Amino acid sequence: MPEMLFEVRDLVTRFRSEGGEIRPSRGVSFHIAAGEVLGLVGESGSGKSVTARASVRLQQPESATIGGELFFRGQDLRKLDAEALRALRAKQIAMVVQDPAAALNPVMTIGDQLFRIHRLHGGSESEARAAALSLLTRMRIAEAESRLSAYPHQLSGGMRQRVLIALALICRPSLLIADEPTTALDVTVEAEILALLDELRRELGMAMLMISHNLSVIGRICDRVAVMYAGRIMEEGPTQALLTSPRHPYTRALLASVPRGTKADGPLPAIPGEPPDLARLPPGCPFQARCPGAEARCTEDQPLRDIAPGRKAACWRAEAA
Amino acid sequence: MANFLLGRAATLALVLFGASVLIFLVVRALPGDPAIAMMTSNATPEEIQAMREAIGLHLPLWQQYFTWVGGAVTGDLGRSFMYSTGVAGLIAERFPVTLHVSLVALAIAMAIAIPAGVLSARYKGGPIDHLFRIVAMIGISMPVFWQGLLSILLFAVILGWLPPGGYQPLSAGIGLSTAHIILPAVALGTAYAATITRMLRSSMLDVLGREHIAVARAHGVPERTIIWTDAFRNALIPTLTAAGFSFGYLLAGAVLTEVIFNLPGMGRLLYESILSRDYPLVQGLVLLNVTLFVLINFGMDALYAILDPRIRR
Repeated sequence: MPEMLFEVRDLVTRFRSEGGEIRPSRGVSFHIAAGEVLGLVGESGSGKSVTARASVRLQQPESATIGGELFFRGQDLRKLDAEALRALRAKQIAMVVQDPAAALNPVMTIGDQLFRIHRLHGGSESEARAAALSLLTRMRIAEAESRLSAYPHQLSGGMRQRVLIALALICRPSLLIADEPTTALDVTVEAEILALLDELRRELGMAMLMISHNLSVIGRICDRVAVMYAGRIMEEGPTQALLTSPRHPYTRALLASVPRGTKADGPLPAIPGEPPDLARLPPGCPFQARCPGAEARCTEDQPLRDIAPGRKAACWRAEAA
Repeated sequence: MANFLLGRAATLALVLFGASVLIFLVVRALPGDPAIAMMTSNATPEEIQAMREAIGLHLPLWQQYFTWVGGAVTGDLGRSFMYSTGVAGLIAERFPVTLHVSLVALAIAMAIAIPAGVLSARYKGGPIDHLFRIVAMIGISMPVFWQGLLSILLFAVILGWLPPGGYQPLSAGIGLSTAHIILPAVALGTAYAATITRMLRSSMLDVLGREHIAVARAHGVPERTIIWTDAFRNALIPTLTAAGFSFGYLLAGAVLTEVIFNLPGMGRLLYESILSRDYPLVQGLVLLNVTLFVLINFGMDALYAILDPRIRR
């Protein structure tokens, strides 16, 4: 059993919106072992991005997090002061985000952005330069030396995403929060970046929380998957098992709506109904209104429970499937 | 970068040409004949005609225009009807006063607006933000002349600390000079500080919500650096536009302020020249204002290019 790196228990976040109070995370728990990749999958608005960011105290405003324990190497992140938390950033916990055009400071050169992260966590100018250069080369960026003095707008989208990854990896963190890191890229570049990310991850022995709405991305690089819907984790398990024999009706619906690439399949089945209004959730299972097998007891709360070794689901009928 | 600035310079020349034509025509569209305005009321039509010819008003418009513009490019703006001396000399005498007040006012405005705007954004929704919001609303709503009158009443009349008006150049001693300039500069500066504060606050908030700020935080960049380096430099770009225009207005001569504080600046000169239909003086002053405005904009564009690498191409 590998060492437990990161464990989130009962994370609750809360925002006020025009429609009333919404809770993007409603008691979310998950854990990641050292070197492990956990996928967090769900539709837009399921709360996965807020949950992931709040789990490492990066959600703004921070007061949105109102409950839960966030153990990183046995230490509760919620109990750390700003300085102690900052010391963990980049060195232990780093983040890659979706839109590389917006994620780099437009008025700083690539080099300056990379160097300063390295220097913030100790190290000289020349060490920072060497680390940045070797990482950019490792990221297969041609003419890395001259790219250091380039500004973000002078690079292509794929190039910017590589720089963003380099920024996250320059201090060799042990946990990477990857918030849809390839969503803004076209498919060929996506495949390349994913492969590169996976390769570097293995090299550094780094664990990863991979957020995506794309099941094929998740399937390619995750060890385990947690499926999120309306602020809750509905099902969790090893990637292969979960994708081939889903136990929760929502996971099944999600898998059914993935295109397989042949026209002969006919029209794609969409999940009937609409995602629930987060400000007005019904009691019990949030998926009940769209679930083909909903029954009376679905209005009662159904916590995520063990249904098989390594597998959990939040459905009364998970075993029956 | 050079191309960018060259392009801007060409635009600048075009704008000045257009403005000069417009100024010339608008001044001549003003009702009232300057020749009559310059004469005593019992002047005969022959005398008035002689005066018209003496000051060149009998020539066709295009000829008057080219005489004026031809002189202007060599620095000769013609002779003032009212003062009977060169317009350029008159402006050269008054301009330093306005420049002095404007620069001090701008410095005051920036000294207030930068910390106030940044802190309001940093502590959005908190007591500091609300305090600055209220102060800024007062600053925006209170007319400059009213604030000027109140400050004269308090500091000159009641307390007797400062002179109520007039001007002393820096050569008269920095203390004496500052004592004369401080009230009008504060009156003007606080008004502009209010506008720039609000502008800076909203562009800081915009930048602070961007993903590169979240990424910087995620990698342990200290909050102070995030505010003053990452966010401030990006937020400065739209704010400079507001600040540049403000400075243009300041230089154009805050007419009311100069009248209230009895400052012999360009604003007051413009006011007097319009009243007396002094065509060459009005034209000269307005042309100078337009030129200053355009030059400030040019300076702003150059500054953007330094601040924002995306503009440099």
